[in-house]
Amino acid sequence: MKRRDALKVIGGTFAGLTVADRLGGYFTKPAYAEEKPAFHKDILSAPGGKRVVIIGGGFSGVSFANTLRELAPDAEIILLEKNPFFVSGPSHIDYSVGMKKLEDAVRSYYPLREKGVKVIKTEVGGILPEDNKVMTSKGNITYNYLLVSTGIRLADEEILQLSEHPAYNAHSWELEGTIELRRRVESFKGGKVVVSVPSAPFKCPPGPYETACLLDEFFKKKGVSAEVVVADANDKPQPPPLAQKWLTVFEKKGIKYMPNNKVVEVDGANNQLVTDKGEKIKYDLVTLIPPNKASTLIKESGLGDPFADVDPTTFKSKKFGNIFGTGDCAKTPYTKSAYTAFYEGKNAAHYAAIGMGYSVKEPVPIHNICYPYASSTESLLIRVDWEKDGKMLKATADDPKTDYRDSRAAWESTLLKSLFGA
Amino acid sequence: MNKLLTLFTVLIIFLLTCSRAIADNQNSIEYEKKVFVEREKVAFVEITSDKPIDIFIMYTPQYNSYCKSGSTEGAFDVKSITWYIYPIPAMFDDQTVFFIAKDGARFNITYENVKDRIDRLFKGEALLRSGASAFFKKGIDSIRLTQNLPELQIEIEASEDIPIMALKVMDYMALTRGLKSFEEIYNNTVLKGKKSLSFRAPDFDDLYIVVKSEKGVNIKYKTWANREAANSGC
Ligand SMILES: Cc1cc2nc3c(=O)[nH]c(=O)nc-3n(C[C@H](O)[C@H](O)[C@H](O)COP(=O)(O)OP(=O)(O)OC[C@H]3O[C@@H](n4cnc5c(N)ncnc54)[C@H](O)[C@@H]3O)c2cc1C
Repeated sequence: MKRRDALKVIGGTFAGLTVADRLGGYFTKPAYAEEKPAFHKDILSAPGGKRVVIIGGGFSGVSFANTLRELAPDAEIILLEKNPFFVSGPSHIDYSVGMKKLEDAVRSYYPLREKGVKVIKTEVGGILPEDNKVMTSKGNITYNYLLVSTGIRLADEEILQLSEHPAYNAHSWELEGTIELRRRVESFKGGKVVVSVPSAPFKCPPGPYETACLLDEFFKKKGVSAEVVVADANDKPQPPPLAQKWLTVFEKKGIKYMPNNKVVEVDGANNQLVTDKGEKIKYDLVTLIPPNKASTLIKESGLGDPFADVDPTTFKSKKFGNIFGTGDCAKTPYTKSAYTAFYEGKNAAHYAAIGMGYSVKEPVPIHNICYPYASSTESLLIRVDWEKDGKMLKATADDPKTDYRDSRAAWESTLLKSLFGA
Repeated sequence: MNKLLTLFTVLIIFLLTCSRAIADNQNSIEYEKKVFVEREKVAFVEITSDKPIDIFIMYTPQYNSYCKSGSTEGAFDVKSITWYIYPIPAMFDDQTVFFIAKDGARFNITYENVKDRIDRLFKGEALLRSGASAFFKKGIDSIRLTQNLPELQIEIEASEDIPIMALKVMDYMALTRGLKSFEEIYNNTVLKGKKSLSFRAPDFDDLYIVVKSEKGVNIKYKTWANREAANSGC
């Protein structure tokens, strides 16, 4: 990415554009606003050769930082994160229906500082791979090695009216939305509840269906009359091998499933969603998950389009030898989940340490374990194992069970403990 | 000798009858098809019809409700097709899928092992992933290609010499909401062709195949998975 282009990206936003403005662009046209002045200065002194900068303190970024700290004791590790705290994504769903308190899902980055990882609260707006520099809202930082672990970007701009009227929607794919969804769920008086699912891929593929099941249960328990509808852009519930299981769960609960309904507009004034076929879906409560995309800085820095193009074993960028990409923002054969993100961070740290000259054993290949909620008392089970090169080795799934519900709780707290020590 | 000749004739007639029965079975018109896919297999269900028909695809719960009420609500429907390929992956456990063709269709099912298929993809083979041949009505008509993967090979062929383009959702909305004309978008867009169009999917985004014809046109598309696409998930 050239400096000029990078500056275009900083502050690049859709804010202020009308629906007609957005419908005006063929997809060749860049989606960024005007150039900003070049005010950036370096905020840290020049690196000593072992400076590793991490963009994004989510599951993979923190896991990478912790692992590298152990493997490379004298490396200078800097974590750049735009949010003041870590919030566990899987808990969003629990919180939205009152199964968990928010404070149980929040962790401070302080334990990382104690280990000697420098944590800077700042937003990264551009990467200059040729100059080994990242441009942040606080200034520029030069690196020797870089990890990009920015997660998913929600493409509100692909749902008409949503950027202009964010309050038309509340969903648990972001923290703010989760808090608002909880408020709306609590005060809901009854009627039609629509869960709108984007086209795959999206992070946590079972998530929207879990949300539908838990909302249905919540309203039933509360005695609120609610018709829960899943309007899915896909032809079947995701991930595809779980389709049959989800439909069986929906049938038992009386949740209405509507495949092939890609929502392109939220018309909040009339309480309706509009599909690409022009059909209207009325709602009294809506939770619409916008299309999941990668951060635009990945494309603008030439790391991949739209996701970071990395080797599935080492997570090293296919273009730049000192850059790694892990988790939801990377193009890999692995599921977009907290569990795989955690292990991707771990494995990438091994290869980063090897690259820095440390003698380190090769890590084990990636696997995923997930316990999607069918209700507040039962979870399904999915386990997938991949070979070192990303080829799927084996996969299993099981019907909803109480045991798996308990395993889910242990699963998340173990992950959080591994990341933050508590 | 006579006995031997009779036996031989009987055998030939039997074999001929059998092979015709097999051929008839493959070519017979069916209105409902239950497809069972064993764990670790993927079934490719190929549906053909001489005239455009609608197909409804259902899992057991949706099929049960269809049997009770006769309603296809909640089923995945494919409209006006003469040829269609639908993959049913059974990575985790056995799958049962029902196909309803109210006007009748021919079904041909091929089973593959999921792991073998992944191995072949990783070795560099290009494998058919999905496909359809559908009648597009006169004027502007479209179909959504979904669950794309970066580098997925997409081939589109029209029966007439007409303009074809593949649009992302916001351009498609500009067209359907009348903010831009077909020609305006066609002139400015990247993925376009006359009579045929072949390209690699740029990313995961849904693409709308949009055509404009005077009398209606038959459009056939195929998508091919390859090693690069497999690296982004299958
Ligand atoms: C509702 C819900 C339920 C889920 N349930 C499950 C589940 O049951 N099991 C499971 O395994 N997974 C689940 N997930 C998915 C899981 O949370 C994600 O896959 C996982 O968080 C991905 O990790 P990551 O490190 O790639 O990205 P994230 O954890 O999203 O972290 C990315 C970080 O980068 C930061 N960032 C982004 N851009 C910038 C920037 N420009 N500058 C500075 N910082 C930046 C963000 O603030 C964020 O902290 C769920 C997710 C959701 C939303």
